[in-house]
Amino acid sequence: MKTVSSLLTAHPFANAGSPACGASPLFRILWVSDNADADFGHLYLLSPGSHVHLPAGHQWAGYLLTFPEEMLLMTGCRHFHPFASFPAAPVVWHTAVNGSCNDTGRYVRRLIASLVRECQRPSHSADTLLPGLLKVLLVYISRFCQQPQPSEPRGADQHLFQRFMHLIGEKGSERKGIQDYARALAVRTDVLSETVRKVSGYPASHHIYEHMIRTAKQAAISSGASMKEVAYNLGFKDMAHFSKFFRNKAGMTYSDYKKAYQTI
Amino acid sequence: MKNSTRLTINPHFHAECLADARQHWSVPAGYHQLDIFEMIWIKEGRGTMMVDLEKRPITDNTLYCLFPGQIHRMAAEQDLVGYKIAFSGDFLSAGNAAHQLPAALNYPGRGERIQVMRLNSEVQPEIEEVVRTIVWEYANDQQLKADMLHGLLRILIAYFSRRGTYDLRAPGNDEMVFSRFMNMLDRDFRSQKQVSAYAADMAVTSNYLSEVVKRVSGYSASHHIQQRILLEAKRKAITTRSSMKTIGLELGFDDSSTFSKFFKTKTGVNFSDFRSGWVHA
Repeated sequence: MKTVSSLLTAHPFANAGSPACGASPLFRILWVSDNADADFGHLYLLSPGSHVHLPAGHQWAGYLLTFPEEMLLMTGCRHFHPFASFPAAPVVWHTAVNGSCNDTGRYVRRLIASLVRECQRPSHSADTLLPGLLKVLLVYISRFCQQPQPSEPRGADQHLFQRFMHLIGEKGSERKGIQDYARALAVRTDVLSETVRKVSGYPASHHIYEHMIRTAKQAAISSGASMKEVAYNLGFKDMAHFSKFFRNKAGMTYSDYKKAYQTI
Repeated sequence: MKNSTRLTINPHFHAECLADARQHWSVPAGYHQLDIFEMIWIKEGRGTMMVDLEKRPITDNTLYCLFPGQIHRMAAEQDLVGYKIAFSGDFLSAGNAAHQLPAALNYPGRGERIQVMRLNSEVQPEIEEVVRTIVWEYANDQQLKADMLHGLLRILIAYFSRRGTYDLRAPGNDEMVFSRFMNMLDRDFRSQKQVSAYAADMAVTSNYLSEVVKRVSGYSASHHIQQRILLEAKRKAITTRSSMKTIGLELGFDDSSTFSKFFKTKTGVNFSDFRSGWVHA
């Protein structure tokens, strides 16, 4: 069984150049403070596959946290914005935090320092505190990243895409094919698939499958459900079909996945 | 199967500053039986904390943890400064069916004694920050409020677990069986008094269950059953005015003389002496 401390790495860095921030399959949270002003910092969230370049010519120092997607499921943070929209495209979120004038900034900085400190401890003792610290940090990041309310979608295409994604999240288990979604949204199937591809860069089926695999993973991690239950709830009638689907998407079989990540 | 487990705050979570609720807190006769967990942090104050049958003087910078079912009463000699955070087991496990309560809150961690933690100057500021953030978050409606409170609560409990009086390793099979037994006992002791009935509900044999329970706790399963009934009888004797007959019935004794004899032999005092001893104390 994997524990939170075995999946999360956190360490300080300090160098003249920028930290290794090329593409990675993991989520990364980067805290950089400017040596000139210790209270002022930058918080970066890098989704898998994204990379960041810190402006050159500065003395940067800070902390880097990395963790896989499973960590979001284990701590119950998968539905937070902006993680919920992953993996639409690799994205970097950035916010400047002024620790001297507001409590939140100060607290976030201390949270990250605590996470780094806890990661150095022996795992059985770190595992009591890490999940809570990480969850609180992710809530703060989610609040920083909060977009203005999407009440005014930029166009008809955006609006349709949002409704489509909303529908997947809401009733993903009852509909399977794009036809079902098109009917529910009262548009033609080819219009829907065209629009989704245009807005997100991925076909509609990609989003539907992503939602299914996420639901299945979440169930494996937190409910202890058997593969049969999960498959049935997702609308798969053929167990072999689901088994293959899961293995393809998650890279391992359902039972291996459950054994590896189940949080007890 | 739910797509995602959304946390709900009401009625599973509650946070308040003690000073605001002073009137409510020092009701003289007020023994109060809990249905959820409560963590009470006394920052400053003098008085007496009574939990079940134990009394303790209240001291500064102490974190108390009270469990569902316990009866407690706080008698303050001066204004208490501190916070109270109440939460249900469901809130803590966040809908995760396989979730185990952290060791500090689970049965092996619940001794007979009041669970307290004295805060030294090293952790005190950290805990204060967490508790104040909880109270602020509870009072304000920010994005992801329930998730935030859940994360903060886990941090608070982790600090509480660090007292180091028990094992922090993942529970072994024996411990899981024991805590399942204790959970079922908590739920069913009124109607079910046979070890074999619990064993059947857990789909194990009576012998196996007795062995495991003895191994983990040092006491037999039937001892735990008796103690659970006695504890509830004492709690009811203190917190209610119901007659012995009514309490006996509630605890599954159809015949009040059986209950009376049971109480007398196990505790050494008879029921009404016990009650008057407490009520007049």
